[in-house]
Amino acid sequence: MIEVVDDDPALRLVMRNTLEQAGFAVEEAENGRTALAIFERRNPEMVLLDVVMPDMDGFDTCEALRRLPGGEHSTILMVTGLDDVESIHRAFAAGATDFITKPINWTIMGYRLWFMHRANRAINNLLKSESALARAQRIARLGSWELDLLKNEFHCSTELCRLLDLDRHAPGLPFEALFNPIHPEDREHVQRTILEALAGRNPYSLTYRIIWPDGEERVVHSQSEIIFDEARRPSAMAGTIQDITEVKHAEEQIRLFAFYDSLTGLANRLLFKERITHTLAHARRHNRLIALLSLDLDRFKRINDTLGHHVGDQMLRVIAERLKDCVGAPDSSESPRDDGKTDCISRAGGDEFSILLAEIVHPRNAAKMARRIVDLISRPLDVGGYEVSMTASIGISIFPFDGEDVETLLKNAEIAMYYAKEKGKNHYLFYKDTMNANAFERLAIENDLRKALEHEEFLLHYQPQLDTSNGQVVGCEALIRWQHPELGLVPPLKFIPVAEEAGLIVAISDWVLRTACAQAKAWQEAGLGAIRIAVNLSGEKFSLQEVTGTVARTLSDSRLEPRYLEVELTESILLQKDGETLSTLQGLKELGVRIAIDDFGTGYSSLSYLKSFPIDTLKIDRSFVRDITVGPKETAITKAIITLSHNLELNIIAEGVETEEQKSLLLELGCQQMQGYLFSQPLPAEAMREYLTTFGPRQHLNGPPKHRPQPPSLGTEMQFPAAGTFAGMPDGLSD
Amino acid sequence: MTLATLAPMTEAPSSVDMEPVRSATGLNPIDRRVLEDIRNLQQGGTAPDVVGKVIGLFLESSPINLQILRDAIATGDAAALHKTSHSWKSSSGMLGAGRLSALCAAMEVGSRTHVPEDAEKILGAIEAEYERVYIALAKEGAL
Repeated sequence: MIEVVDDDPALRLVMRNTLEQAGFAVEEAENGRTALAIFERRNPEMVLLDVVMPDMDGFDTCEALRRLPGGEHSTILMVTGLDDVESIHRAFAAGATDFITKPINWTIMGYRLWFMHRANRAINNLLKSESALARAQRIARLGSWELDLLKNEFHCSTELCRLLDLDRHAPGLPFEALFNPIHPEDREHVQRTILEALAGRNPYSLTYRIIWPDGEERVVHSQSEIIFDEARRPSAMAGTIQDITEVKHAEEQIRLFAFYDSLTGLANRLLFKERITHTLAHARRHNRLIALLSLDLDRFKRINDTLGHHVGDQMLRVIAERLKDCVGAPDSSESPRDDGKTDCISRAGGDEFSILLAEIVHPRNAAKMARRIVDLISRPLDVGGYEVSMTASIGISIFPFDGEDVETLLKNAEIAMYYAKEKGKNHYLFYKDTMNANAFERLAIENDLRKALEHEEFLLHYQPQLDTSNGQVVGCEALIRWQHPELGLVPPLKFIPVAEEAGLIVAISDWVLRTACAQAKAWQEAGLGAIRIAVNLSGEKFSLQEVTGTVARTLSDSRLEPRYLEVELTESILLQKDGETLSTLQGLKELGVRIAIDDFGTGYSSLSYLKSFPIDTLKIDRSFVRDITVGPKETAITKAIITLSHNLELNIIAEGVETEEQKSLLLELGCQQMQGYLFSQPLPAEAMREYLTTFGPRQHLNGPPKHRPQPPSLGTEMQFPAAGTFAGMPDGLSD
Repeated sequence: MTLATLAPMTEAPSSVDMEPVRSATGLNPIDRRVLEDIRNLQQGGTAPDVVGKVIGLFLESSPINLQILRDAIATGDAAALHKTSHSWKSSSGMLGAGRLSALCAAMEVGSRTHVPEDAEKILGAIEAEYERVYIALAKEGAL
């Protein structure tokens, strides 16, 4: 659309006609004021402006148009007199784009304007492009600059000036203005780098800080390249500066997320391990001790579930603060330090914390710290209106005693922590060698053991004991097995020690007793013979177990005659020097129960006990049986045991007999009763029943012994049943 | 617009014939090509008659201009003289009345700062030329 401004209506008329025929839309104005109003409202592409008008003349109008929004770049054609050079001059000065002289050649007027229109389009595209570029720069917070090396002229974009707070309208802005806002600490380096690059006509790339007038610190990335002319000579240097403060911020956030626990601000496991690694290196070099504390909040889960996660989170924050108070100026997200000698607290997740004491003079200092922490944590917390009491269990491992690498130290601190928990919580414990690495397995087993009785996961296997002089079964040993739902058959070696430590052994022993007695009774009633059953009782705290009472009760409940029950005890029982052991054994004897010493010969006991304790049977340990065929010395010991038993009128039975050779030798030495894989592996109740049916001593109950078939104890081809039938039991484990 | 509304002529009109009227200097009062240009820009049959309108506006404003010039000289108003002669110069130029336009230009230039001495003389020439233009326009069939 073209705006025609002239006070002559005739001219406006013809002008309109001409322009409309040329395809333009036309707006008319008869004076300057109207011209401005129309321009503001309609924003014409071109203005045809007469010079001589009443009130506001053409030149004033032109200047005024230029000042309007959008007027800077619009096309203003002033209509001047043909030879009126002064008007043409004034039109130029007023900012007109071009001039047309009167009288107007109407025929070519249209064409003239078409050419103008095309030129406008090119200019407009350029303007759009420039404004798009400026907008892009603004969005990207990236400014550009160029330094003409030959003329030493410096130009920079609007955005660059904005970024660096330069006054773009200041005339003759020098290249050095780029250095103005640089952070004082970075200035020297940056200035030097850039000036060197300039001198050498080389590109550069830098990241540095700038400071805005209001004091805010920003981070910028600045880079440049060299522009060459056709002769491949450097003609200019052009560069960009981008504000990357937000990006840096995001990077920092990521680092924090990656290395720090967002809830407490403490280091996370990842960072903690790194810290330990550095601290270890430092400690190795300087021969220092380091302590690792593994801390667990007791019963946190329960409180979390009761009072809600929000309160739980608050608690963790308070605990974290208390830990920071205790340890004092440790590394944290607010003040990260990695010098190899700074303490560090981390939250490993959940309610577990770990503390690295980077330099301790003596382990007792770690103990002091642990004590302090335990005390501080046990003070009530006030969270969300609730007063909560919390305690902690702490395990301590010391470098280099408890490990020399990160994993070992951490693991051992945790193990010690678990023990502290077991021992009663609200406590700290140093790691000991005795807390072996199976502690975790231990705990798992322990947990399951507690349920095993309830879930009836225990069962008994029975291993026959034979009198090899006549081939009769004289009894069997009851051996406990644990049918774990996931692990399968767990050998006693794995769970008995755990049971002992967990205080479960009494209950388990009771069960074994009851089951064995009942089973023996059942077999007797089924007419399978006067079978004697041997039961292992744990020696630990023997006298505290009220064994006598339990046995008495079990016997009366099962109605098994006492002489058919043999209680097997290990030698260590006899090492207990209290009189209680003796009286307990005597009590058992009074009941009529038999007492056997298991694994005889392997303990450090003195033989004098043999004269004071009421014992019926000695069981030769399998190790002697195994060695019996080795040489004369080994044979001699076994022979001595056998002779001893004969002389003391004790029953003697050999365990772990596996070969014919062993059997014949034992017979030669005077030991007839035997137990072992040669005869049978321990059998489940059903299989044992069958065994007794075939080879049992039933005749004894019904009358004098008659001839009956020999049980298959001769030759290995008659193993009953076939080895490996009962999967899960490793060979040689007939215990 | 009729002859009756025009200002009184100081001379009797020359005989009306189809030949272009020649003034004493031999120039045509109207350069017909200019009017042809304008006519060519007419936008089709239904568009208003631009040439007619332009001529009409000219015939309307010219007597007024003449009177203003007379008064300006009489009162010594150089500004009015300058402005009006400039304006009449433009409007007559547009119609192709070249000599009239030139005469107005002369008046314009002369009256930049003051009323020129030969103002009366120029005015007389302007008046005479206007008459001839008028007749020429009549021949154009604009009346």
